[in-house]
Amino acid sequence: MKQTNWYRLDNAAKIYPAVRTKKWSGNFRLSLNFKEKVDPAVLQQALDDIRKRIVNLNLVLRKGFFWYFFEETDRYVLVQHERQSPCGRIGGEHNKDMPYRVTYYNNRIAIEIFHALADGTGGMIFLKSLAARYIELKYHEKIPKYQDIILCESEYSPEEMEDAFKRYAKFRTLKDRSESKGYHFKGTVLPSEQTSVITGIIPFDKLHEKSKEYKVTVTEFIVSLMIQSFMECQSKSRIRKEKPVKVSVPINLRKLYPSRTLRNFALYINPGIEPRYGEFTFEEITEEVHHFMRMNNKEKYLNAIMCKNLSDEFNPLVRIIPLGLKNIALFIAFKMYGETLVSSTFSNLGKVDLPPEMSKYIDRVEFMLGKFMSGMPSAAASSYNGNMYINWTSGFCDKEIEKGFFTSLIKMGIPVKIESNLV
Amino acid sequence: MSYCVNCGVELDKSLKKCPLCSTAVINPNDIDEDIPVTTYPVEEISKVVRQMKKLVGIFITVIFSVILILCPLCNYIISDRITWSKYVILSVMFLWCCVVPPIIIEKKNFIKSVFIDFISACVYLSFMNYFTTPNVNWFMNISLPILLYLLGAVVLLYSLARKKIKVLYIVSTGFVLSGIFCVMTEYFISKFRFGSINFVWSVPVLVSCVGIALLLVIISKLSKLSTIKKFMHI
Repeated sequence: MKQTNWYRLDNAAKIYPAVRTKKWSGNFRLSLNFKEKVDPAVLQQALDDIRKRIVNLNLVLRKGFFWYFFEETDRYVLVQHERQSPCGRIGGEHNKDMPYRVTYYNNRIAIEIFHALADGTGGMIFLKSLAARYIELKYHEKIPKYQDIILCESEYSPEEMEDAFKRYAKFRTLKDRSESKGYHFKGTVLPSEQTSVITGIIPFDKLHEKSKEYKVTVTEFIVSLMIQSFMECQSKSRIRKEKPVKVSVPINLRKLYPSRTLRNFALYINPGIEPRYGEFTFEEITEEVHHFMRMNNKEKYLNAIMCKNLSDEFNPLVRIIPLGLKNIALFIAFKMYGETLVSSTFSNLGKVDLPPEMSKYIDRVEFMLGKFMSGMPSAAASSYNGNMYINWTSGFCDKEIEKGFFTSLIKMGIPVKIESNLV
Repeated sequence: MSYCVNCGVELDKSLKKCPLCSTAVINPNDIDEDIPVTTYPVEEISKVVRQMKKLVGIFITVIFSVILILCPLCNYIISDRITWSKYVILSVMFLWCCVVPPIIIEKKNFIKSVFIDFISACVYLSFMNYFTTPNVNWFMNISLPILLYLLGAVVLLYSLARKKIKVLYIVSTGFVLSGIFCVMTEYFISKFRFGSINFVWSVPVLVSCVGIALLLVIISKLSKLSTIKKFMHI
């Protein structure tokens, strides 16, 4: 299995260790609910087993002189009981610098991942593989080879660890990155260790039907609703100069390139509206978002963004700066061009497919983003078993954005069930 | 099944108020039901430990204050003036500064405790100097430089340990620092006593300390040679 025992961070991963602070790191979380209560001992065994097969789960983040890098380790990883505020900073007392943690609570298992290690798609493969092993151990069910699920006995392929950005970048042209700053929600801030989570459970077919009425996809529909909610909030707050409302949407590049990497392979595009042109109706917002997404979600444009990002990494001046200085520069760049450009993020993992041998034990599958550094409310969604689970995470006590979002769904006649960690 | 009367969303059984608008959930049909399982674990912040620590702090303070009152009283009754008890008072106060703050400070802060210890040691020694030999200023000439050096050394070692540097490196730094400490001590003592600088015993100590430190560094480097490429990748 082992060929080399250390890996460079991929292009998208490089920013995350640099901007991580004592109390915050850029994480996301994937969870699934079984029909029965989770047995922690079996879960531990399942984790131990799949760690023998999936290289990513055996990596620790280390500091080099010029860059961070991942190194293979045989450090033991304990499954933990879940916390009330999920997706807290990764790298604590329990798992030192392990870039992920596995938790359980009642019927649910979750894997919380530091974004430097993988993206949502990669993370979902870890979770599915963990669940498959858990079901094998607990219910003695033989899980067949199915889509991207990694079974313990399957063969390791070096492609799982490839830096797909480097493989597919064509360097024909570089895309300009200049963009105006977006509106940011302001409110009463929660203590740094707390995250508010509001989950909306929505029947997928009703949502799909509604988005068809507006002639857009479900992602575009939800992004438009988010933009509308942020816009209403901005106009209520009576800011003298209104800023554009933009929502960052990650694009899974595995759909454009045939990569099987388990690491980061996604880029962001930021559809939005500019309130200076006047008031937008919901139909107009959906149109803006729809055309922007169609226009920008193209292989050629995305490749140019990818090349721009890589060209910064390849710049010899950047490369020879020692890590400490590089971290400061990256932190400043992140403050200037990171979260400030957009008002929120919406990451849709899409429909989660499981083989029938697994789906009969599993009730729901959820995707959640960790709290952002600025605490801005952001959402992530996944659909499973006819329902769409939209998880809003935020660092604010105020819930105007979430309320605006869910009540507009109710007004459209789409039922929403709400769950939260704030009882 | 409850709905928020304000937003119209369906609410999970465990919710006591709507998370979106904070409207309380009142469902007359649900009152008799068992307490539902929450969707996330609910954590309570424990205050018991903190209160216990405060109690211990108060207990020690009371005992020390009894000593502080009794000693001068006895001293005064027996010999009609304060003689030996001032040393006891000073020592007890110094001990209190070393013991109590680290117990009662809520957020454990090593550096803060070290600074408190440093300042109290300075105060203690300067008064001792004043009480015992007011004509000879050994505090400024010997004690203060040594204390300052010790403070610096402790802070340095602590910050190295916090940075998760290899234990061998920290130990070798400790060796070098103690070597320098010996040289410094001899320097200040000989300068104070004889007025001239004359190194006798400290230099061999320093040399052997540095030697041990180098040995330790080489040992830890040997295991690292193969990983230089990884560490220095550009």
